[in-house]
Amino acid sequence: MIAISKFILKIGGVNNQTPSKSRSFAFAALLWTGALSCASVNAETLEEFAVKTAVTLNLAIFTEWPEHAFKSEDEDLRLCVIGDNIVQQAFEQLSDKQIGQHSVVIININRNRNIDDCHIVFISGQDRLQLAQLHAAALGKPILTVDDTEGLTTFKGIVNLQKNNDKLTLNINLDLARQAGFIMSARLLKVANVITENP
Amino acid sequence: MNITAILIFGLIGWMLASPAINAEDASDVYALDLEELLDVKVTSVSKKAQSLSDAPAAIFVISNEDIKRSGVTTIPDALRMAPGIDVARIDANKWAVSSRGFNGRFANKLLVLIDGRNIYTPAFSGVYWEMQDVMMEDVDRIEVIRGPGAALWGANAVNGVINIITKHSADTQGGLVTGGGGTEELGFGSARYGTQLGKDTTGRAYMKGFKRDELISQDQSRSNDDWDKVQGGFRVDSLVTNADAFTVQGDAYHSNFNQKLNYPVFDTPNGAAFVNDTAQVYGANVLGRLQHTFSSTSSYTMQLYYDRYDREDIYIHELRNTYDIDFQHRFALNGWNDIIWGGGYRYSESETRFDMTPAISFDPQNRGDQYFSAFLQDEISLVDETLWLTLGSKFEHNDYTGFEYQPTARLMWTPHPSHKAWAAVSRAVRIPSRIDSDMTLRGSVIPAGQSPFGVPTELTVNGSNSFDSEELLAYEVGYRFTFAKLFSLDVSAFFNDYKSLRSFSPGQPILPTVNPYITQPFIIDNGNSGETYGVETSVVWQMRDNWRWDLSYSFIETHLHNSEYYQEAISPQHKVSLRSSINPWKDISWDIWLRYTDDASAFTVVGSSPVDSYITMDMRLGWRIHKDVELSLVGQNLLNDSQLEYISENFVQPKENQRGFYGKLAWQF
Repeated sequence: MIAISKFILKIGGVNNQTPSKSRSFAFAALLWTGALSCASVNAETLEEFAVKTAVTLNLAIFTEWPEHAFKSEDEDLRLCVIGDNIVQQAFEQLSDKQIGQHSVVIININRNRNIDDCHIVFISGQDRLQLAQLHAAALGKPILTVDDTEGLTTFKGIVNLQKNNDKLTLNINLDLARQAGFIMSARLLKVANVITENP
Repeated sequence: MNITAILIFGLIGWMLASPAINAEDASDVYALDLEELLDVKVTSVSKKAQSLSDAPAAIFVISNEDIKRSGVTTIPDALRMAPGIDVARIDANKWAVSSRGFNGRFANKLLVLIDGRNIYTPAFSGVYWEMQDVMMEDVDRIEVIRGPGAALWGANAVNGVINIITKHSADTQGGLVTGGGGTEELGFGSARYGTQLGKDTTGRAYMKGFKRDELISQDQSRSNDDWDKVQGGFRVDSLVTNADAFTVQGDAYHSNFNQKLNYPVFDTPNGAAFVNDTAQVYGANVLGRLQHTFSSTSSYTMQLYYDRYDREDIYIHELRNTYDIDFQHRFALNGWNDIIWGGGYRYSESETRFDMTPAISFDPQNRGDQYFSAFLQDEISLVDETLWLTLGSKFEHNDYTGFEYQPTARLMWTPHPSHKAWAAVSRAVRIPSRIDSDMTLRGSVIPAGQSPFGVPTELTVNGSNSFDSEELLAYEVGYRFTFAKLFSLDVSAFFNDYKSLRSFSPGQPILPTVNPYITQPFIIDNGNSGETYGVETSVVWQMRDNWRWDLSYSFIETHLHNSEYYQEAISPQHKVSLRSSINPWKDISWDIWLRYTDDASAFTVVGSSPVDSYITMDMRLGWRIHKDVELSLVGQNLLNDSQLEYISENFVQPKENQRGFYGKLAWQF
């Protein structure tokens, strides 16, 4: 509190030579701040990570894992999340959702952990090498990798989400999906930008 | 109570009363089908980069967006956003930057890296900030880590580490041209072009330049410290295979920096002479880094760099070459042990020439030093996804003090994704530099009439081979809280216990046999010690979709047991930075930045020197005229037209920072 009151006293006491000038700056600033706040934009759009979690949920619904990926028909679907706390909190919403007989368990693993136990890995905000490392580690395994790295020109993960004109684009590398033993539904492939050398 | 204070209170009250944005009802989104999801418009509220929020250390991240919207044009100015970091401009081309106290132009307890290249110079243990620049638009983030980072980064990361990280070249594809000018930023321009060089290879090249006006002397006379700089560079990144990433980057620069210096002499009535120096520096560096992945839990990094500068101040001409190699391997030993180990070698050689002796000289004039290091760190998962213990230490050998060890123990507890707490105990050392060991500096001269010896007397500061490392034992705790996307709070507290800090003590006077005056040397030793403690907080509040507040507040209390002759710098006890970032309309961004800095005291070779508290404000208005073109207007230091921020240890006369305005146009294609 001492600091704050000192801070405020300073605002008044600052620059004794030209007090009116400095105050008028502050005054104008505050007036502007007040006026502009009324112009708050409230567009009818959805928050980016909420949409990304919903898309991820749909990916899980429209993808068939190879048989050995689940030990039992009602085993939990482990969705691993690599990202900052904003991403983690967004994915909390998927916790306990049902996909067929599997219920979704969210595991936050932004600590360089082994991903072999994950059914889905959502990778957000990693640099390209970390991304490449994760993709290399998942290669050929029944792990559905989903990343949201913008501006990729080659896709080494199975699913990539990019923003284009404020909408999400779904890129699916079908060859990698097949290599890992995934079967993706036609409905999913229809809405996605499918990357494959064997159409 | 005056009108401004009332307004501030009113604003705070009104803000508290105004409705905040609601956390959106996330369940709605799951009712949409896939086709609808891919057709809906998405918005992202601007958020703080939190990539390091899991680290058990006091970390603050300055994002690319923060840099852009604050309107800063230099790295030191960007660092003013971080809590716990003291930034003060000494003259137009010199800054004092430190973490958790001990500020000065030659502040020596903060390690700074640009893309893994150490820019801390062993000439004086510190950073020549005027020589460091990057294309600000291509900075990905600046990670500011307060407190000892020595266990990982090595000696001299005593009170903090600053990592300036530029974007991957794949993220800077296409062209960017900027240009502008104003009253203090007289003119500047930059151009960058990034392109695909191969299937998995991208690159970019850039050029930038600026001319900056002089500040003003305390007596309102000209300060003759205007400067200019031209810098160019490149970066190429390649994924050679799925498991090998390779980066090569480099920069080269030339700068003319004028400075008005004073130095002690016998033949003027006040014992000081002035010189207007037209100094210049050339520099270049090149760095290569290979990162190889064995598996998702095992990877190594090998990095090599070469850095060179050739700097000509009137009182010292230094040519320095640094060669560095580093290796780091990270692997999961098992499910609960994550190990990082590594080693490094550095050779740094400097040649010096002194044209203003006896103002300053080094003995020996030329010197090359080797630094060997190894480190081991184990992150142990004590309770799965909830409690981690990190144990680690750096082991180093240097030519000044021999073997040094710098261990740390850190505990991280995350009972809930929104609540994270950590605690740490660490030891760090600041190893000697050339000025501690090799320097002779004439600090002041005393005319015959005032001298206790009755003859003219020269007071010098002399380095000593017996000067040992400065030691710190640091105790830290921290807590982070985030509430949805709307609010985050980061608090850290520290208690630092310093031993064998630098001081100097009078040595044996040299009688006037060679020179017609007595020389009273003050020999650098490890006579000081002390404690500092403090609290740093940063708060981010997304008040509305289009309006964000960033507040940082730092408190530090300094208790030093100084020797009679060496009064260490005392940092401002309170520091506040408050930023408001608002997008009133779709293509308009508007930022206000208020800063308060408490009273401080600078160390100079002739004693401590007070610096008064001040408050100032920057403002930026940005207008996106077209999808690819943005016009911005920036006002800096708006509340004062001449503000003393700091005083250098020696040579540089006190200068006052000035109000400035500039306009900038940025076009990307």
